[in-house]
Amino acid sequence: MSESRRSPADRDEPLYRPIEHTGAGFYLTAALLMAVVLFGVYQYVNQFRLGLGVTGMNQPVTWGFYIINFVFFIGISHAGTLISAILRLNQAEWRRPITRMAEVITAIVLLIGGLHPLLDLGRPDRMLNIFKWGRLQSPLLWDVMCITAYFAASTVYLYVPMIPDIAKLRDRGTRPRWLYDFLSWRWKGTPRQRQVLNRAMNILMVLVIPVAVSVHTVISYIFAMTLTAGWHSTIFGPYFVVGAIYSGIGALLVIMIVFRKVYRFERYLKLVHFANLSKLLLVMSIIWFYLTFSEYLTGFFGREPAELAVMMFKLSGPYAVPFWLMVLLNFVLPVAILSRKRTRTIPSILVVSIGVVVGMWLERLIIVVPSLAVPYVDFPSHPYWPSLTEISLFAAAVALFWLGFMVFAKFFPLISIWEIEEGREVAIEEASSRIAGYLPDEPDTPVPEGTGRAER
Amino acid sequence: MAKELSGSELKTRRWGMAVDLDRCTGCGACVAACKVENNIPESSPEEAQMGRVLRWIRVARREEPEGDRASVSLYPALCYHCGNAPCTLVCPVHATYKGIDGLVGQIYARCIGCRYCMAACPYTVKVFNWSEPRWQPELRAHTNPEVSLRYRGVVEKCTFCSHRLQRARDDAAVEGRDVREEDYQPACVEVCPAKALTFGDLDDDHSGAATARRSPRGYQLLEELGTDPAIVYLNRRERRV
Amino acid sequence: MNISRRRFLRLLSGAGVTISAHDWLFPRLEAYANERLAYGDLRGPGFTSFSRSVCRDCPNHCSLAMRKVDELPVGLRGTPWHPASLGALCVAGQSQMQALFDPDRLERPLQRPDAGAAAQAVEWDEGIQVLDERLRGLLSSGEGEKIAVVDGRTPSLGTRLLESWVRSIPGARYIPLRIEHALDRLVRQFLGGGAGGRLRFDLARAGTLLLVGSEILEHDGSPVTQMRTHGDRRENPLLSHAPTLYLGARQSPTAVQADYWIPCQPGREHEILLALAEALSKEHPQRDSILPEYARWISDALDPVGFARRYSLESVARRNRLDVEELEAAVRALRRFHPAVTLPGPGILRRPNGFSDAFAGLALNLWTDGFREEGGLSWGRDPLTDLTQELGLGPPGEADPASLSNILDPLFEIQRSPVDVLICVEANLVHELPGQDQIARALSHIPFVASFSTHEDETSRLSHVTVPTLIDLESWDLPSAAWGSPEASLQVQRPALVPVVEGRAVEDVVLGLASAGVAGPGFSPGAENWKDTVKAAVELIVERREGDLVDADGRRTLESASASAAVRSLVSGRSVWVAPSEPGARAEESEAGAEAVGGRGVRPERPPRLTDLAPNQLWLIPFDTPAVQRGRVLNRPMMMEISGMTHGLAWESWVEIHPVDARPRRIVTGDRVKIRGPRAEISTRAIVTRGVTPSVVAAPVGFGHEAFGSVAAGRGANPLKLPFAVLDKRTGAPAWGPVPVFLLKA
Repeated sequence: MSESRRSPADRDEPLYRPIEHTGAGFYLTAALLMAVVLFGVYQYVNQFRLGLGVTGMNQPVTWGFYIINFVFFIGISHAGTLISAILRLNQAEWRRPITRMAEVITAIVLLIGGLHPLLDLGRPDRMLNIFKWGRLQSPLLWDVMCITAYFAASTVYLYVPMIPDIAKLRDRGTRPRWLYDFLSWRWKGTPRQRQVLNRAMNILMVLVIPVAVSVHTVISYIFAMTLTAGWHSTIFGPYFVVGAIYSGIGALLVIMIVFRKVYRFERYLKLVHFANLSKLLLVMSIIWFYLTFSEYLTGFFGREPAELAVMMFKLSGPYAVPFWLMVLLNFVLPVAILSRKRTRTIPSILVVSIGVVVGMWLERLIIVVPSLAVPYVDFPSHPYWPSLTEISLFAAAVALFWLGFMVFAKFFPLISIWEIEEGREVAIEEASSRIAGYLPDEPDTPVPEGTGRAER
Repeated sequence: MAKELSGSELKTRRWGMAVDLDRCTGCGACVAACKVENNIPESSPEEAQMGRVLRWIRVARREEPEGDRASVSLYPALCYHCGNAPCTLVCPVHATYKGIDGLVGQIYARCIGCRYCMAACPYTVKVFNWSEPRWQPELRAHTNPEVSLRYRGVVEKCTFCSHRLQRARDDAAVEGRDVREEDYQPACVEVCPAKALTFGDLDDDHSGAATARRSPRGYQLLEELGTDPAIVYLNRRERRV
Repeated sequence: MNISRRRFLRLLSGAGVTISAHDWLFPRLEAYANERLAYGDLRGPGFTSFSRSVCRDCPNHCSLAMRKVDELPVGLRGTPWHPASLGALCVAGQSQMQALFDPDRLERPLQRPDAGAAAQAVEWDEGIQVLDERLRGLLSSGEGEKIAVVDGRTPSLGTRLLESWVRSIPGARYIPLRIEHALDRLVRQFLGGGAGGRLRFDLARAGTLLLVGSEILEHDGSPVTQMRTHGDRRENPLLSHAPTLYLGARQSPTAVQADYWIPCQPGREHEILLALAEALSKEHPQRDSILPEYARWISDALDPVGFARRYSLESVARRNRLDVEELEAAVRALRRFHPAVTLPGPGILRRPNGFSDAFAGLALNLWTDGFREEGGLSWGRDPLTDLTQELGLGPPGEADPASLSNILDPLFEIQRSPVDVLICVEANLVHELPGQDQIARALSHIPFVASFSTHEDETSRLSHVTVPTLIDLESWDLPSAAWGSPEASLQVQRPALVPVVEGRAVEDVVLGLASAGVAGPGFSPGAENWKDTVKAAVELIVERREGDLVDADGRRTLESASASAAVRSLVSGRSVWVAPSEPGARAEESEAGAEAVGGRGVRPERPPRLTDLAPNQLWLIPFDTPAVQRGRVLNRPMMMEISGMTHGLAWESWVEIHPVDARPRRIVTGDRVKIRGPRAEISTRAIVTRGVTPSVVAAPVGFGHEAFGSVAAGRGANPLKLPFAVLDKRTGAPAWGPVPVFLLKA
């Protein structure tokens, strides 16, 4: 075919296309999303002026959409860095077109998610009291630390592997030149530079995994450290981390499928990538169900009245619909569709992953609200319904996410070009030699001193 | 005349309350007294409908079904000033804290309004200023000058009328003696028509509150959580003919 | 010494100035010095002072201390030396400040060319002139019987003054609206006490206490006292096992505190009471002598065999879906813990047939020695009675129980008014009486209606003249003893502050009219204005019983056993009680009583039967709560917020229904429901609770104002819209009956 005759750079021409060609569709979508974001900003200014009274929160249900979305968005952020770091660490070769998108999701969503506690503050003007009077004993402070650390680590982790690609853009003379000039750090691809880059990436990916795990563990601690029925549970740390990764993969799949379609990345994002990721999704779905089951069984079996009251509120009370919808979307649907090869097609994966994202949002809702709505003591409960402010701020957050992703795609390649090239050039060789290394040794090779004995 | 003392030289107390459910009729006088004493504004009807009424003390109603009927009990619920207060543990900015004599205080000027303490309180006694408090201009002028007015976006709760304790401590310090029990009573205790509330030092074995705490009828709300509330309820006696 | 003429004159004039200054200048100088020098250091910023008044929201008349910081009122407290309250205050009392500073208060009289037309604020003199002309016209033509005054206030020297003024006009009617008067009348008929007396009860002395719809801990009589003595009773080692039983359809706070709640269909209390009485009387030594007399009151008792069968515990339990063991336990308790006292509450008197229920409750006391004074029930003398006589205001008149219905019934039936002038003094007839629209229509047929009120309320909207009144905290008066309270006291009510609005006391208006000649012969209040009248009365008390006065700071002016005893001995008269061992004496009194209620062997009106309900219908029972008080206090935001608190409601009314009735209608707590009665429909929130009997809808009275300030208007629903306007002829009380209604989810 004609492609084989092209230079390597030309072969990846479609990856440059979104940066260099901007259609009307882009502006239209961006304007639409911008409008949603601006409406959210307007609503927030309103809230800032009038107080949290404009939300739907009330006396027992003191946390609502903002905290739900905070947990949800931070959860989505696990898509990226954690998955890409784990895949890189494992040297899973199919990761190459995926990692960049995953990391971008992390950076954008973390920024959005991290803003949510501020939306939730009654006195945002006193935000800096956290530094002035901060109590390190408070789980909220743990959160502040973990999220900022994670944000720092993941943006660096996004940026560092992007340097060679930025250099390519600089070399192509893409506008704005000063930007690429500045960001490419005079990358020339010398062996020394490559060595430093690899080393930095290795350090970062090892570093970023515990930070990522800690972030969602600590978010779960916000709930688990209280005595509230339904929250005070030791399983919450792993439960939240698993849920986060689960929703992250779901979101990643949605993004991949959408941008594959929009930017015609069909040749890069092939069915095998989706199949592999959806297998991961299936595994997470099962682990998630296992943890959910454990969580609810212990609550149910102990028959502690307060715990039981919260549980019945979810299982058969006012939150029965979201609860069972969550079980359907997070467990029944993924397992039913993804466990069979025949149904693991891209449209069905899209449906499942949207379902997972929605389901995980419902899970956050079901964790946050019912425990507050069913307090220990006799307190008249009022149903919680989000107000227009809360809904529009949620919409603005989602719109901001898509907008951020689109804008990122306008400036940087969504698929790591140099890693693809590297894959083409060295990966097959490297992988085959690695696989050869896994095979049993020939009978005549000498057993290395010490190792054999130690195994015995 | 005795030598003047500084505040730190006064004997440390553990102020607490006993609520006799045999006496409490749920009339709500304590709620009204608290509102007047602590400048708690009335909510608008719309806010009330959303469940945003500001109350530092409320009368709770518990109904335990007994066949077709119910055993109903009414009891006042206020901040329990826990010995081991879950709200003070989670506050990120030290705005709710264990203060003098074991009272759980709230610094309105520092609170950032994250409402974590409200979520952490197992007794659901903290309230939040969802909006700017509404004051009728005529009534705004007649608020209690000893208690600060709050503003939107901060959490508030019962302080056991700590301004009264402050005054009692000042008086005692000037007179060079410890605070006596009769010097200090929260507004709700003072006003209770049924004399269902007894206030005093829990560490002083002879005080009414401490005696009530030792009573076989005495129990603490959610005792099993280990929060060690400073309010003890005296259960209603079973009387069968 | 040589004194020149000039110097002599100078000395003389100096002495003259000094002498004349002695009276005028020195006290002022002294006051100035006291203020500036002696208390100078205390009068700095934050100076706290207290001024006292009396709360008149209920007949308990608690003493109030208004706390002022820098002369600015900042709150109300009780005063510990008040014999009934001992420093406590209820919700209503504490919210008085809000009434005081309510921006919706009337400041000037309102005049309407026609009832229901737009009001026009007029000058004080102009407003009173209208009233003056009307009354003068009737007076001069000798048509005094065309004047009626309805008074909704608690008893005090002021109400006596008004009463005496009305009674001085030949034929004019004075009608106290408060329900307590109805019970007083009933007890008087039964016990034979003198006019101007009061039923008193002392819980602390009762053995078994059987409360029949009597909300002693909420609003019957003196709630503050009752609450405390209820608690003391529990701690009394002699009574700690003595039970309290509550008989009624709704588990009110009083029922919650009782040891037993016997749920009972509305209007069937008398059946249960008669069953208990029948069971108790079987062993009573005087059964044979008392039973015939019983028959004077309840015709059923004429046939003792049938009576015994109809009112056996088993058959009554069956008819009322009760457990017979429950009634047996009640009988055991009544027999064992003596003296057992049965207290019928005004709650049941509000029914069309409430009289028989109340009678049955009182009758039960015969068999349990409940009327002995040591049992806690007694007939006390009103301390005001002597006082008003000595002041020349004359004795209290015997109020005609049926006088209100005498006025309203013709209005309902033939729509012609028997009166030309109706004056409502703090009595919001349209809102507080059943059958709102009927009453409103009736009022529109009266040629001239005047109302005295702090706010423009539903009745003043239909009045030709509305005269503003003062809040308790601004008034002078001598409120009398609490109804039902063992502590009888008179206290001086003084304004705690300068009136917030320029207003006049009702009494001042009356005295003004009287001095202009609008009064009957023999009305001699003794003073030109109200303040002086009160002062004269106080002087009289001091003269009479100088030794027993307690001043506002609780200091006794002379030695006496205790503050409360001093006040009591100051004002209370001899208690009257009837011992059951003197059947002859009582028979005479009862005869007089029986006549008063319509003669021998009167058959009590049939209570509504359970079978009277159509399928799907429920009984609506309106009930009183202390925080609502028939709506008189709902113009205070605090009351609006606190009244529904235990149900988690604020600024709203509610209805209580049993889960058995809620389930088929798919109603859960918090739902909006519609209650459709025969004549109207109201919509409010439902509270599903096991604290009411099945097939009952209990609704608080007082909400649903159409006027009465912006705080009260349009909030909640008024259940009194549903019943027909009925005034019980025997008690004169408005009857709130159980009304058959349909309940629907809105």
